[in-house]
Amino acid sequence: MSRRLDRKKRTLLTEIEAVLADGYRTLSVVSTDPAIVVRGGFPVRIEGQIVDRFLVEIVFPRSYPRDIPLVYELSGRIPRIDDNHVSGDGTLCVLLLDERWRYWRRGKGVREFFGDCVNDYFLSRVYREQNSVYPFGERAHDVLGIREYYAEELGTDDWKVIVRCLDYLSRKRVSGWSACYCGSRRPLRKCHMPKLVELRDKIPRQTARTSLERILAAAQLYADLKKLFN
Amino acid sequence: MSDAKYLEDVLATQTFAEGDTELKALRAKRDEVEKVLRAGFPDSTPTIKYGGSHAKGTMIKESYDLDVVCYFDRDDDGAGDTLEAIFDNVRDVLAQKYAVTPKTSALRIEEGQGTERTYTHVDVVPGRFIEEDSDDVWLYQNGAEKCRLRTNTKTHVHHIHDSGVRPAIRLAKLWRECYGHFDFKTFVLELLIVDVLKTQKTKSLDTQLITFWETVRDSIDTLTVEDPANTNNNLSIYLTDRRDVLREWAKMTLVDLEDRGWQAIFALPEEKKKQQELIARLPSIRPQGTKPWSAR
Repeated sequence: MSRRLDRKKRTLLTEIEAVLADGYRTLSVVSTDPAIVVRGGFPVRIEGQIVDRFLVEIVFPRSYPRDIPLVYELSGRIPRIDDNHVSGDGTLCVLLLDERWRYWRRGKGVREFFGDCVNDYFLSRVYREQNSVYPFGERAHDVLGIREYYAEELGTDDWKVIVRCLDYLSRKRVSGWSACYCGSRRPLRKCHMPKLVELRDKIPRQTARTSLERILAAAQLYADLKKLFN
Repeated sequence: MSDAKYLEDVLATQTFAEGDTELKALRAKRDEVEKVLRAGFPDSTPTIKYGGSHAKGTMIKESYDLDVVCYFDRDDDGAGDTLEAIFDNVRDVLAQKYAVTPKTSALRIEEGQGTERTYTHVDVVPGRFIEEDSDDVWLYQNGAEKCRLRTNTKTHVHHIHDSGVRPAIRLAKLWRECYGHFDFKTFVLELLIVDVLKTQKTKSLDTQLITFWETVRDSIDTLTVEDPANTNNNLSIYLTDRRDVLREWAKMTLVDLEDRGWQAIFALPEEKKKQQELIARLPSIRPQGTKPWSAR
């Protein structure tokens, strides 16, 4: 098992080094144990032209590519406040994982992650510094952002529908005779099965489970607070 | 065009011409601040003069402020008995006309209210002379571990002004502002450059900068800085937290310089304008892109 992991890491390292040598020479691999860590200047490009740069550290977890790399900005140019889409631990919230399929499809590699997801994040930052808005829009914070995304997919922002859908997305198997998530009481196979299949193809179970747990935790907190103030 | 000539052209764009409206406005603001201070302390005769980059000759247009020192004589208690009282009273006098934000030793002056507040580019540094015929002063350290700092503005000004490497200092400040966009205490940066380039004064500007970045890249962990006015002031604590950041920026700069030349490090105004226009056109060039999210 460990020999297979080492080979996997070696393959990833080779891929990373090739990407750095071709377009990201100001970045370098600074550590390979336990995780591969890349550090240096990330060039921000528009149509191939470098318009700015950020000092970053990018950590490839052992679970890559199932989990996306963690990106940190090191100079302090991006203040760690919610509006800047930076987590409490300093990781940049490059995208909502549920819609990863849209920006960093399965099978795409490091080059696409750097060139699309990370570049877009910093481009948004640079544009916002000049114009006070995000050029591609932004997701709302926390569970509201999750709801925003699923509302676009499902055509409703009803929490119950979203929670039921996430529940199905996080299960290993879902019977076609289960009640449809939309609340129609019809079985899935006679209702929104095609949509569920489409989403299951795009969104990993673990990602759906994490979003579901986040929503349920927020709902519990809301109920507790309501009790407290009533 | 040689590299040194290109850098001189860059520096020229960062120099205030004598009749420059910005410079005139700055001096007018400084005179206005002096009037406010003198009116606020009618029984005192503080020494009010330029400090900082204006006096040192290291000002750059990209990011400038005018440090105005306001030093009271040792026996003058018109502004208060203690350093803290002097700091607070100077702040209160200025607050009658401006929005004042206390920094560690300086008072940042702004005008307007709320979101309309604008920086006047003037900072006032209150202090008190230690001896009658000495330029040594005590400064109050707002919120710092040691509440007072002994220093000498004249010594600082001469140390930098007469260092022989002012152009390199100005370019390094520009590099910090426009290339790296990172925070690094200006005075510590100046002292580092003076120290690293003490044997390089006759070298060309491009050679000086490369030497500075290479030294930072390779030896930042062993570099120290000393306050020329007071060797007891431990300025290295400012360096400690930022060594890694400075090293990484120096590394990045040297690679970028090798790949893309000086234009990549210091863009002339026309090139900068093109970049800004490209950024402004982003929504039409790329209508869709990754939407950032925040987990909290």
